Amino acid sequence: MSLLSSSLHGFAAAFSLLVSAPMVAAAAEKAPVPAAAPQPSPVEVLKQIDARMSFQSDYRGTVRLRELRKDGTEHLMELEVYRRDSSRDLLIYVTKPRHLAGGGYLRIGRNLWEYEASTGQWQRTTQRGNIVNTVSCEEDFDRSQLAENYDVKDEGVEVVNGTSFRKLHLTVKSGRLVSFEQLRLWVDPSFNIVKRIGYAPSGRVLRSDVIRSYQAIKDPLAAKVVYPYKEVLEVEESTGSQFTVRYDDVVLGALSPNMFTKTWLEGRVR
Amino acid sequence: MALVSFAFHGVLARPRSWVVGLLAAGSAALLTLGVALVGGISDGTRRSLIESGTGDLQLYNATSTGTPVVVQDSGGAPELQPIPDFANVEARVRAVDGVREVVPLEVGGAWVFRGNYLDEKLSSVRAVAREPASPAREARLALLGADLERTLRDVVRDDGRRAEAFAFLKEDEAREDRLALEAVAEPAFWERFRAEPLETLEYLENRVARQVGEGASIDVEFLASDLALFPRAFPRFELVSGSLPPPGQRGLMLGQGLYEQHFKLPVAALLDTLHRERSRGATFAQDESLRTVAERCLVELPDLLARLDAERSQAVAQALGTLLGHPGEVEPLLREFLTLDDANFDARYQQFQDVLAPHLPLYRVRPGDTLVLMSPNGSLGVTGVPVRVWGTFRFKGLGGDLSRVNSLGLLDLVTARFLANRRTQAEDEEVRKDVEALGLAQPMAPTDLALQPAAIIEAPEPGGEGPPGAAPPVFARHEAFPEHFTPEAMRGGGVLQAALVLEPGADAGAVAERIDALAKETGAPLATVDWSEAGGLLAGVVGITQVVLLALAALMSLFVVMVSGSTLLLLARERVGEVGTLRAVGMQRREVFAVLLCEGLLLGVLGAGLGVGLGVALLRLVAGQGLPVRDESLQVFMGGNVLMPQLSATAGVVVVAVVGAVVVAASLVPAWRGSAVLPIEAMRKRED
Repeated sequence: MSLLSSSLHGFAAAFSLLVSAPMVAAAAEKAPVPAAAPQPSPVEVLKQIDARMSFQSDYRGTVRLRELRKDGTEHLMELEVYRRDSSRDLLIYVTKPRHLAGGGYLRIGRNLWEYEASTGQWQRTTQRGNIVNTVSCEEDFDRSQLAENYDVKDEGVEVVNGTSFRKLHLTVKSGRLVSFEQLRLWVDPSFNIVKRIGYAPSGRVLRSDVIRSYQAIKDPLAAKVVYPYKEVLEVEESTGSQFTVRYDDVVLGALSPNMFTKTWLEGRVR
Repeated sequence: MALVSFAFHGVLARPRSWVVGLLAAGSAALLTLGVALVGGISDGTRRSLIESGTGDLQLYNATSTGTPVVVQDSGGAPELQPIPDFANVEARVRAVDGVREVVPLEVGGAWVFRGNYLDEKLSSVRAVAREPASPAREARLALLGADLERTLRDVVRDDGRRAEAFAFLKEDEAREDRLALEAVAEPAFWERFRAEPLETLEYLENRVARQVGEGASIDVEFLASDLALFPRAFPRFELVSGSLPPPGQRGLMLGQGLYEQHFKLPVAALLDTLHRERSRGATFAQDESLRTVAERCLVELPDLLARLDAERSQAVAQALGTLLGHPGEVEPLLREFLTLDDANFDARYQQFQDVLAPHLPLYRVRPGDTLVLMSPNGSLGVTGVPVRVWGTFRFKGLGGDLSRVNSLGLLDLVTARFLANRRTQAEDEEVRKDVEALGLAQPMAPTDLALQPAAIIEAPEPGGEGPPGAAPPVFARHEAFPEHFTPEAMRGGGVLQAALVLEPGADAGAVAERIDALAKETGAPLATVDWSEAGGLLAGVVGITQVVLLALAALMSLFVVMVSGSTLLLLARERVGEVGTLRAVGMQRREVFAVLLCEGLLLGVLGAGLGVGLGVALLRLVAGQGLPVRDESLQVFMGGNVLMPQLSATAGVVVVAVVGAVVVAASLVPAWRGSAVLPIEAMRKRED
């Protein structure tokens, strides 16, 4: 149990992105918006990002997260992620490191469960708070809800090497539970988030992410191409640790109806 | 000598000056008592800490950024580097003159998560439901199912709880929860349970269990050590229940305080609290907090009822029927029994312990059960390590269940290493190999994350609508955290600190110097701190008492200076004629000054000596057998339940010297002014 949930934080952000992020318009990538074209409003940008991150098919992928700490030590975690947005179900199954393998994390309905493979124990937590003692929040694993969760302010455009990046400052709406009370996003002309900084309520930087690449995948149910993350570099400010999060073997397609159950996860451990 | 004689006669001739002596005596007596009490606290705290884990010295890696503590403060465990080649270091240090034991240690914190009572009940049903089919499994499942049905009937009936559970929900969520409860109340649901237990359990776990409340986390601050060596090295250790883990087996011992406070049935723990408070004189009639605790007993009733299977429930109902004088259902009987007031509490408490407790599952965890300890794993979240509870312990004479030292856990070093995520070399190599194989071995990126367009990578076509990806791997349960370990694994996994227990009479400072010499000789990065540093906050209390004593002494000195000074000044004015005569017969001013100062010295020293004697007599009279310490939370500072004041001869001499010096200081101005009288002035004054 702990694994999953545990692992989650670092991944958390990466995950949130990951799990939710699909579809950044590839076409736009290939054909940047002309500088003179009217810019969409900041809210419209968020809606575009959210819309692209929603897919209708079930999701399966392998997440590999490598942490490099300042002292040079390395950690690796590998997770199988299964997600069904239509019912908001989520299952994460740890396959590495060895001592955590077989554990997992299951969100079903309004329950969050963590599974400890070595003892077969389940721990139930709630959706209303953080995942037990980590900074990971359920929203980290949910579909992108930027427009629903945040108020947004335009901070202009930054041009780097001829590419214009839209800069937005997001502040959480009252009553919304999120990992970062403030966010700053840099969005490319194709509505890809290319950089993201998460702040504490005080304004202190908590984490900086650079989205290095996306992957274009066809969503069979929606019959369109979506763009989940492929590789994200995440820098945690307090520790200086850097995470490389890679989303491999992503497949969109129907999962077994019995996938999101305790019995399925328990069945992974002999 | 003549001066002293003059002074002596001067003092004798002026009884009013004795006020100064009496003041000095009083101050000295108070200081003597204070010094003795502080000495007793210092010695008591020292013994408590040395005998319960700090040892006389703590050995650690000198290259660490922190220093070892055994009692953590709010900052958590210090950052320590493992002692290199600890097995070798241990052998060498053990050979150092004066060292009796070298006890490897680690301090840390973890927590245990506990679900609500329905979570726990469903979990045990699930465990049985997952067993291979057999007549025994079917029989147990039938029993557990009947028990579960009864518990859930109570949940459905509990309108108050339901209202509370629905209060924060959105309308659709509340409706969903109501429907779930209604479904559970139908006989058809339990028919389905018998046919498809796992499927119906998922329903109960996901739709019903959360409605009876949240779970909770219990913090477990622990000392990790060689569990065979620890009890031998620290005489305060006392096994209360269960046994120590066999050598080579991982395990957790719970401090009795931790066990009583956090693992006991909530109703029983609340009754203990009421009993404790009433023993201190609190009453239901006058103390609202007591009434609140009593009300909580009733709030916790569903939890208690849910933990009673049919057999226990029947036994409890029968016992309550006898106690209350009428038969009935277990729930109303318990409610009546737990409706407490000043008139019935003592009898009810005793009846609970004697009659009801044997029928109740009094503790949620028992020796032999497994707990999952969880600890932070850096940015990767949390690591959960299962460990078997072998028993409970306490440190003798260091307070009862409310004492902090008895609220610790005692853990083996291997489990502590798992919790701290300190990997072995083989594990490090495995990670490195995996990272390289996956192409993730990149150096640290620059901190200024420059903007650059994200790349778009075309993912391969999934190949139709089929089930995505390869089948997930299956793991063997035993691979996670092995329950057994070798002696090499225990000491070879990176020991962070070690307590050194010295031979009786050995000087800790001298041993520390020998270890420094050993470190120089071998090149090993070894350093030590003594108990007062390793004792952290608890040892800090000694310093606080010393500061308080010093502050009081300073205030008292100020008082003595002011009162003595004004008294002596008054006396000096009355002695103008006498001083003038002395000056007229040839005595120099400095000699007069010396006589007057000498009078102050005599008054101070004699008074202080008298005061110290008085203080010692009082100590013998009042605290000859020690002062009983009833407050359990203070016992760790007193070295047990009796405080033995400590007063050395040196301390007595210091008190006399300090008080004498203060009085002499107070005499300076009066002596100076008194000696300034000219003979002619004295004679004029006498003529007037």
